[in-house]
Amino acid sequence: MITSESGTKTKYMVEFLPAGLKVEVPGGTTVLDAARIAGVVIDSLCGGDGVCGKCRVIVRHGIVRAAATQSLTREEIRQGYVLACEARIDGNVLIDVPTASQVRGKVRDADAVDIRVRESGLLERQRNELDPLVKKHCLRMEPARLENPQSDLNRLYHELAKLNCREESQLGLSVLRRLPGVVRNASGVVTVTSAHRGALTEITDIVSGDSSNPNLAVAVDIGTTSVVAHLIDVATGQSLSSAAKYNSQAVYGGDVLRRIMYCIEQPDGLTQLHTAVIEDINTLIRELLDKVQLSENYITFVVAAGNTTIMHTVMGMNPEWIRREPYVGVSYQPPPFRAAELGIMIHPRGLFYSLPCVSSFIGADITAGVLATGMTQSDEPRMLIDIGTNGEIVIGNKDWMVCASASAGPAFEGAETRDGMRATCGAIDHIRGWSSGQRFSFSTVGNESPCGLCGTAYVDLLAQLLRLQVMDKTGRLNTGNGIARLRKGAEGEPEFVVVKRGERGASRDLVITQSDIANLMRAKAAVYAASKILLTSLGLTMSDLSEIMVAGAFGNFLDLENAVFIGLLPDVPGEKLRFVGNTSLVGAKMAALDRQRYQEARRIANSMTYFELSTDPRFMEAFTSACFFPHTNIEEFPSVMAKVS
Amino acid sequence: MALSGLEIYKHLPKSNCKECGVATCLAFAMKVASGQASLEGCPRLDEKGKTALGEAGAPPQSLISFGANGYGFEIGQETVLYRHEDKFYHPTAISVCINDSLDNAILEQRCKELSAIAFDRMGKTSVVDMLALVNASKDTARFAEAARLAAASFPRSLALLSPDPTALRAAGEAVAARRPLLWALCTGSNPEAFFKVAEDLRLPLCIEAPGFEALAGLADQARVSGLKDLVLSPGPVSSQEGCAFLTQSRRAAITKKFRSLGYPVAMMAMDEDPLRATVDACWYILKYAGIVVANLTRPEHILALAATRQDIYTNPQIPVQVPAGLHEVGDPGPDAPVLVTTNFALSYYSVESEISSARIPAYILAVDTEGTSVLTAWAAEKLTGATTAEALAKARAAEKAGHKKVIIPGLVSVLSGSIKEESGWDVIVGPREASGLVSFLKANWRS
Amino acid sequence: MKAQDTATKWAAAINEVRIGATPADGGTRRNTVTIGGAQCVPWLAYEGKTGNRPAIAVEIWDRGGETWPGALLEQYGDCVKDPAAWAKKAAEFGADLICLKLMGAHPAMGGISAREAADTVKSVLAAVDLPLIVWGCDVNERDNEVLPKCSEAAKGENCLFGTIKEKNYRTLVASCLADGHKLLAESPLDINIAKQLNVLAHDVGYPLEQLVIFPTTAALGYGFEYVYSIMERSRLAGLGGDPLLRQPTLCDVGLQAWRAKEAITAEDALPGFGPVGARGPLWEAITATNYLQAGADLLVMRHPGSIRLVKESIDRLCSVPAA
Repeated sequence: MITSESGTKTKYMVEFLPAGLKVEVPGGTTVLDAARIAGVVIDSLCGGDGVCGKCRVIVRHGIVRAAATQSLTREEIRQGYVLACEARIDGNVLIDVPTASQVRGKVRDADAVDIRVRESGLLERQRNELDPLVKKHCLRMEPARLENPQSDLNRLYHELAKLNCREESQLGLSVLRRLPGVVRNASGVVTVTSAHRGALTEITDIVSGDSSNPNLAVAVDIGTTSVVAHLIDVATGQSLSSAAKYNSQAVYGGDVLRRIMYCIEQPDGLTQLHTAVIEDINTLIRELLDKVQLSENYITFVVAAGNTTIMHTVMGMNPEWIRREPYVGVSYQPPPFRAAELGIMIHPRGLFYSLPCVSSFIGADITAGVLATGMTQSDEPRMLIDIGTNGEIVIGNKDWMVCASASAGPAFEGAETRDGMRATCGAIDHIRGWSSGQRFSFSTVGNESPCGLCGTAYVDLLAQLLRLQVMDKTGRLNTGNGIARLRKGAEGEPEFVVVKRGERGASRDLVITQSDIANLMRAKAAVYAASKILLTSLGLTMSDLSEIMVAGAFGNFLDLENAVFIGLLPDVPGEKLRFVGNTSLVGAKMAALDRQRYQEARRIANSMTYFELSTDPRFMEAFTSACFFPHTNIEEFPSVMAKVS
Repeated sequence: MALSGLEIYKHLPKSNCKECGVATCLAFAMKVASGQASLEGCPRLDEKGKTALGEAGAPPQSLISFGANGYGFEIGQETVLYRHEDKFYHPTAISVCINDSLDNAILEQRCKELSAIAFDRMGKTSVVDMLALVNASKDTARFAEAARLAAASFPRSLALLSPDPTALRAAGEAVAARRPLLWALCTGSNPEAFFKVAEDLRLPLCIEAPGFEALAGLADQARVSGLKDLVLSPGPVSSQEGCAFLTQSRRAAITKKFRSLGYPVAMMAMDEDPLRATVDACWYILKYAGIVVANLTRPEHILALAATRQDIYTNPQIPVQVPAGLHEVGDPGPDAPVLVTTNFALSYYSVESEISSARIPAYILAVDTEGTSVLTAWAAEKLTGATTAEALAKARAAEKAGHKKVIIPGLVSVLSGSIKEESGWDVIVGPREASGLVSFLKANWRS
Repeated sequence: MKAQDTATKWAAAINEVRIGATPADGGTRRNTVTIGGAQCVPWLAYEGKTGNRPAIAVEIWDRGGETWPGALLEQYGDCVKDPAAWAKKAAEFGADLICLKLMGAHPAMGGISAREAADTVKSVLAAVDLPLIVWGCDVNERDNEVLPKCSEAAKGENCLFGTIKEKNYRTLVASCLADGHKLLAESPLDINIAKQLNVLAHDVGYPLEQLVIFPTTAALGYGFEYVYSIMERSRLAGLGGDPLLRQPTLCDVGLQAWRAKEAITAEDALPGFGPVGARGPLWEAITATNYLQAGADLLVMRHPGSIRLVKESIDRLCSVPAA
């Protein structure tokens, strides 16, 4: 991304604060690119198009070239703010990356803890019958005898058969070559690692002595926004440690479409995306191992779930055709690969399993979600709502399974809103109420000074603004009612000050603007409309569902009542509404621990019927009718109706 | 009401074998339910399933066809009471009546006049689809002669109306090759004779009786004698009664699956005052008539029928679109901004309403994206550098605006480069949402 | 099976809305007009009461009437220059109500002051004793300035004032609440927005029972079916019990029909379409009578010929007793 207008390119030194990382780059390089080279991660959702306004940095010394932009106020420009994706280096510079623009490496650990708590129920009944994808067997080989001159391998098969491992096995040449040495050591005690490959079993490794414990696996949910991993003790099915971080691919675009575009437009775009996410996985694996002080050699396999595009980039498969008619991917159900081939640092002969995707639009995260929630087991239809950049809806029972996806936009993930942020330290995550002191009482992630709002806070905030009647049911801020916190912003747009500068250490006013509300409205309407239309297509209604499960980025903190109050979730009796947290991870873990579940995931993917909503004329209708708080058809929200009147 | 996808699915093999070309059995069932696939597409459907679905899946209203020689016409097989539930499938046949008692010359003249009536509206041509020849002379030979004459000078469909089975047979035989609709006025007077005529000539028959129950009884009788191609007429009634009967029979057939009335209905708008007849005929068209016979001669009256029919048979499932091209809002002069959006009506009007309510004169370039929204169109590569450039050129936007600066939606800022490359226009990335347009233009647009 | 077996049992009736006030009610109108009240889908007398007879409001403008198509000017002559005289003419042509549109408030039409507009309202009230509809110029800022004064000037006359819109409703709602007028709620071809606007008006204190809805009108051949379907859906929902769609419906027929090519283009440009003199009134009349089948309760019209035909058609619809 070097400007080509100047023939000679003088190199300049760029230093980034607070990390203190330095890098030398040619003149004309954007600050964002310089940061990427220096290893400084600056938040960017649009992938450098200059439209998201998230990559604000401050120029402390030196010269950059930058054009005026909509995303910065005059005051900010005076303070030296520029957009990193637009400002180009034109001399030695010192760049300060403010807190709000840093992508913090760690997700709040509570995410992981909560997941553990939630999954315990889902996983309980599985514990007794573990049948993991990769097993370690410790066996004593009968020595070779003259009267029974079986080959080493045949004697091994014989022993394995005694353990009920009757599948046909295959193994690599390098393992076979080591076999005679191994079986003749340690009085014939060997540890065999055998991995599930559909109808076949692969003996991936064989060593002398008993090293069957521990046998570790990593289950990983690779989201568009964050990556969460668990280290599992295969013998017990327990999670030993958990870790999460943001998906570093975010610098190449906030949503999957932009990342696909990046692959198409940049010569080595796919490599960059692939490297970024693999590096994330490795970082998490190192962290998981650090916590339990074990070596990566104990990890015999990884099971991953994620949306179709992300899974393509993980495997380094070109996702280009996912977004082109007729929208097909390279493979939705890739076989297991050697993890090392992907660059994932576990046992050198360990395997990487990906859960199956359904189509270009419905990924392995959804297959995993269906597996985790046991939807395929119930007689009554149930619904799974996964709230993310794409809202995904699944409805089904033991006989059938349908799904749809609706572009909700990332508003609830902290993007497309003025003071939105991800649920990192300093994000307001819960707003409790309007106190007599004319301010909100709220909590922040990590109990730090507030520097923005995350999705769950927006759910609460919208409900509060409605209750305060600061906003009418179309989402319009009522500037005429004399509430002090309601004002006109820099461009005349109405906005509401959620937190005043100085309040609990806030460094600036945190506001919600009229357009923020419009974005949030669209996001909630898309999710609701998609569930509604999917039901309608089946000739069912909300009351036909025995349960509605909510999964996704903010499932762990979401205030249910407020979510119903604003019409994000359907108004069903409380006992029918349940949070299931990160079902993508739980599904990956279930598959890791049970071969049947892994096969079941494939059956789920094969039987899932995908509904295309974007071409369904009824969707637009349902969407407009959901663009109201809580909904134009208020009778669909009886509990809200009762509260309001 | 047709079977739902889930109901059909119950009878399918549930093997997800994909041999029908669809990913899952449920997806196939949904296609069958919406009429996009037929049950024969499933190679593994067992006999039990076929029987169960065959009966339940039969259309609640028969499809009746008449006419020949490239002027065939189909009516019936409607599936809903209100067009927003799906759509109305087979437009009403607009028919004008003529008495066989007219002089040959006049008869011929009238037929020619009627066949010449044609209205080109909104890219479609509407005509008088059917000539209804009434056996006013009560004379069998005359009726047959008039039928021959009418057939010679009116090329489209014919209906032959008579209370006399013999006359109907004679005229029907005379023009049998044209597959006319036989219309038994006062069918009840001699039903079996009429049925025999229709059976012998193998022609569709319109049976007439006063009211719901009488017609249901008559239709059952006709069906028992082996007739399938029936049209129902409640006879001469007031428009109020006529509309009530149309709704009753449609509800009976579709929501109650009452097979006796599962046929299209033919209505007569015979008021002597042509204005009243026009009003009545339009009401019948709106309210489900398969055929409307009107006592009209003037083109402007028939035009009202044609426009009403064209409107009500518009498919509501097709996304509402605005014409692609450059739209002028608020009389823009040179130097007015040029804003890009798609021809999806909702996208277009969200832009249009913002700038027109702020009274900013501007050009809106609606790129033809087959009625899809900005982001969908971009993802499907219908909104690209090339399509935008082509639309700019086709609309001669540079000449009109006197500049070459185009504002594109912020959602597709990635297109900046390719639009500039393809069109040579400077590209300004606008706000992501139309709601930000006014403040954006005020801050950024200085021609 | 009998015909009666196809009758639907509806949960609710369309609201009855009365417009106008007689001296007994504290106004000066000779009579009032009540619309709505249907208990069945349009004109199916066999399943319920068809409600009050649809009313015809004849449209007049305070300014700019001379821009109307020639076929209409032939009928109204110089009256179009004087709203009071125009109102009298409209009454002669059989109006049940007068629909006064304050086009003069529009900046492009002179942008008259609120006082001038209020004076016009008074002069029309003085000239005729029919109930009155007062309609703004569709520019929000001007309407918010002008309509409150007109509402005040017509206080006690129980007029129908319009229109409130999703993005501009507070001012007019407040005035009509204070001065005792009915309100016309306008939505842009969108059943959802129609409902939402009713909620918004209700949330600021206006009774749902006093609203008349205007879902936008299209002329025959120009999106008629779109409006027709919205009206059908709205009526079905209202009868089904949705309190947000139980309002009677107004169709602004005259304005739209007289924009249609078929109504105003001479035969030489439309060969074979018949004489324009016949087509204009017919286009307006058929647009109106067609909407009657979707549940129109109040029709705003222009041409005396069309008005005659529509009235006669309504007579015929109303004359048949329930089976």
